[in-house]
Amino acid sequence: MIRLINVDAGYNGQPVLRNLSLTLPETGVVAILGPSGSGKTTLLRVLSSLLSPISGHIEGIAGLRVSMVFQEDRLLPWYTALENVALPLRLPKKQALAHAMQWLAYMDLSAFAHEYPRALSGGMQRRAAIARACACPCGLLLLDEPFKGLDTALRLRVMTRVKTAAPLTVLVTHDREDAKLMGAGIVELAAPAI
Amino acid sequence: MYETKLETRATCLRSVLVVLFWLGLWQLISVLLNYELLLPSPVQTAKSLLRLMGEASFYRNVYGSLSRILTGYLCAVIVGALLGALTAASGFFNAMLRPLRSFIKATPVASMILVVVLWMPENSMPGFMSFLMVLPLVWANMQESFRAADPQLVEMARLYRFGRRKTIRAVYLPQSLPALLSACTTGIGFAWKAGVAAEVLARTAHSIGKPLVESKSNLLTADMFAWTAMVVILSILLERVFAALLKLFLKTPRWEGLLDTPHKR
Repeated sequence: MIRLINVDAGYNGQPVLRNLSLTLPETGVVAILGPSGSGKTTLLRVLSSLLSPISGHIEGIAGLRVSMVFQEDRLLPWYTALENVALPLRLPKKQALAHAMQWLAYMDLSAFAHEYPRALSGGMQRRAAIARACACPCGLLLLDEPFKGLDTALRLRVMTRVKTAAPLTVLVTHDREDAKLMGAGIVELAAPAI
Repeated sequence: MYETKLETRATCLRSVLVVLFWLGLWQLISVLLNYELLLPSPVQTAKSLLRLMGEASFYRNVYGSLSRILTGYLCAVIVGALLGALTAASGFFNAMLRPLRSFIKATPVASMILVVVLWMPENSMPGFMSFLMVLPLVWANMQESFRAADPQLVEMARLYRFGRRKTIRAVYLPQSLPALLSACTTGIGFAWKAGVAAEVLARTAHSIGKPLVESKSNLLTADMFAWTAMVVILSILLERVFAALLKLFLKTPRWEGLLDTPHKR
């Protein structure tokens, strides 16, 4: 179980998250909702250990393997979609490629596995980024607006697979409908104090 | 398509006309001076070059210069890239090694040659001078590009625990390639000039520099011009070959568009 206790976190000493206490379940999907600037992405960065809190404590993330779909796709342009998905995997090359291929198939990208990101549309790049995050075995999957730009039918197919990728998934979204479709418990962050 | 062909033809024609203009000017001045010892004509220079090309030693000299200078150049690219990565990653090594780079960069080639000639066999000196000329260039470019690597991609590598080796191979090196290739392209001319200058001062055996300086001592000005022309021709050829190889490399799907740095869109 992951617990955040009185966490302040932000950038250049300026907290975006203030005095946040939160307990996440061991399994399931949690959706973080809230207006712009409420610290949704900051919370994901804290959970991924990419950002250290200014103050407060976090329990249950030490040694936890984390995977993440960033707000930006962050695909490496000099690798194909398949290579991008296989790169983080700690498996022998052949197995890594087979596993990556399976996740690309789940994302309807089999036919584009050997394409470079620049040859893919925005939605395809997004799905490749999702495939990379999901293919990577992890205890915690963090998703920052992952379904942006996906049409409804595709979104549902992708969600079905994403839900199975990790024991605990934390989804940041503006879209309440996405949270509902993922069957997520909802945490609302307050609007930033002005 | 037709317009492109026409444009190419026009460019070729213009290049030929420019070369003819300068050759004509050279010919005119040499005719006006009428003093071969001071300024041989292009025709006399070409005759000397053709005569020299008929001698076996010519090719031995060209091969000697090329192999020495290119060896120095390649070593500089490898060592410069490694030092660039090391000094970008470590503040300690950067502080330690920066004065060395500044020293190499600031010291005039001629004084460096005069110092190095005391320490090294004449045969190794030109390669070493080429190495010294290219090293700071590759080093600085590599260091800068490592530092300018896209932080989002570096963060992604950190999140997925790529480890140091994989991060360098998959994230930093590809992003550094444009800077490295640019340094390599500029450096090839530097290496060639410094290498030949070192050969001249050290009178290296089996080199272009030795017959160049000997022709000057023996007042064979046309030969001196012919050797100089050879140096220029080889320099242009090296740059062209390098540019062609680079073009081939950048045409492969993996690296296509690399110079547009799509990750920075």
